[in-house]
Amino acid sequence: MSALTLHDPMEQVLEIQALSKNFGRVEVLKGISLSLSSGEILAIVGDNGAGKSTLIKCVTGTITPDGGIISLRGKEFLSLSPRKSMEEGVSAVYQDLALVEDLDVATNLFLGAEPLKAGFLVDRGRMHSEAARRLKELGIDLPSTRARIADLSGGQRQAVAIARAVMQASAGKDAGIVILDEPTAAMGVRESELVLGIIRGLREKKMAVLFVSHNLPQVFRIADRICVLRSGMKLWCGKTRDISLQDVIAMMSGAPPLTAESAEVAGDE
Amino acid sequence: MNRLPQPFWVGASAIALSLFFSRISPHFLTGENIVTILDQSSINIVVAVGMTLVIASAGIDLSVGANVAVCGIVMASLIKAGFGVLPTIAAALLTGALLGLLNALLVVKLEVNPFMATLAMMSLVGGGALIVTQGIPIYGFSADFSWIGRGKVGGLPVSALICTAVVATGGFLARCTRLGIYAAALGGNEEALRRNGAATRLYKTVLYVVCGMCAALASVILTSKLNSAEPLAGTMVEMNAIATVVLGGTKIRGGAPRIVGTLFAGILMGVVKNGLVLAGISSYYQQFVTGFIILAAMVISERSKKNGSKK
Repeated sequence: MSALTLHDPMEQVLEIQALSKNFGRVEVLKGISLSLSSGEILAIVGDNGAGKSTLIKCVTGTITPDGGIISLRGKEFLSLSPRKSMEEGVSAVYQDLALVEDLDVATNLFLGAEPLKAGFLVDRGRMHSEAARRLKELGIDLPSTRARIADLSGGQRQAVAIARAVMQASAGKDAGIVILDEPTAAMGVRESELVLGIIRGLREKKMAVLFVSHNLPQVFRIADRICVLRSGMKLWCGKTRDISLQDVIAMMSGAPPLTAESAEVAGDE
Repeated sequence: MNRLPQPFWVGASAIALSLFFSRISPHFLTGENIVTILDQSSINIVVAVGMTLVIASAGIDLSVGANVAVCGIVMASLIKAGFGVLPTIAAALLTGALLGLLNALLVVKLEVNPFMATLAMMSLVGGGALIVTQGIPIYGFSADFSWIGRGKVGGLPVSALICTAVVATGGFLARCTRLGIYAAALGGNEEALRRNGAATRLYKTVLYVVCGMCAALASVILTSKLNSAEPLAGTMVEMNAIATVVLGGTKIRGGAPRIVGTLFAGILMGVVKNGLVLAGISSYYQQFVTGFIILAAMVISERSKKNGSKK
């Protein structure tokens, strides 16, 4: 059963087929296939070394896969560069957030794509008004677009990083793909709720969200589907409601799934 | 101290010290002496503006002093060969830009640590200046050329006017163009800038070229002021410039460029040197006080960096 059928009428924006990657003699990805549609949150879970980070880096073009195909809105790629991936509407927020602490919120949101006037002058007025508008659209509440990143809390910084990813992913496109690597790691409950709220908002805006997390309770709260990886292989991929937290833990840790039969049935890929 | 930016405190310190020195010497706060301070500070401030942009990008240029010396020798040679003032200045700027480009090639292309790359360049270029001149100064230039370092317009020294123009241009670049934003981003998180698609290598190169050109312009002022090109003319220029930049609030490990802070810090250093002279204090103590200022600036910079990362 294809993901397209399962999530119809949502558009399938990402399809990965038989993706493989070796680092020397170590097989990090072993023929992984999965898909993602607009307006969907897909969680990739797995223990350390499962291949989660390598998988998302192949999609963002940071790593070149050794085999397989990545399709972005039907366009097939054997490999991507970071720029190409961005041009195709893929944007990622890594754990380090890639923000510049000494610069303000608006400048960080537009980093690398600052609006110009007269061809070379940075249009700060437009940058701030546009940043305020975008943040409001995403329901992100910050003291000011002129606040320095260094003066923001962890949750607020994550929110800025996600907002930038959304802006980049949706530049010139109806719905982009946002990849989030451990978006709530090392955050308190209140901060995590802020970030999870933003991620839910992305689904409502028909963005496609691929997120990697170790926090399984959070995954079960917000993901539409879950893919479980272990040792570079996809063990299971299906709707969140079709699997239990205990089964996911069992698969991640190497124990046999408690409801393997249901997993066989519910697994959509 | 955390509420108000460092440039404010540096400016306030310059005013407080001026009042202090005016109590010691009645000549300190005279119009003539204030003009002298501006004149004497101009060379350091011009170099420091370029250095501000490079340090903001987490780089450094230790070769600016040698750059000043070499540009002076290039200008002296051209003037002696009969070239006019404008082509001579243009040649100096070109020389400064080329030396900046060489630094950039080492840092960007060969990925040599900026400190080591520019330290090597300082030695190479400074040594080259000594070899070419055999350590003998070249002196005796035209009145037109000497006017740049010694002349006045509307009562203000030409050097101070050039300095004002450089500060204004530096502030404009830092505030209104991508170069300023990317200097801060290179210093704050180069990887973030690269991931966002900016041509990090190109911007880094431009920053070193701008720094080289500022050193060349400082050389124009110094050479015309001394009416002599000396192979050791740039001694301590780099150290004074670095101290000025850090004192002005630009973090030594990179971050937002504080051009106004650099201006105030340059004036503060000028006030200290001038005040000590008028107070009749030995030049040995002047160097000691400068060292103390550098130390204080570094401690403040490190503390503010730590405070920033704690948040």
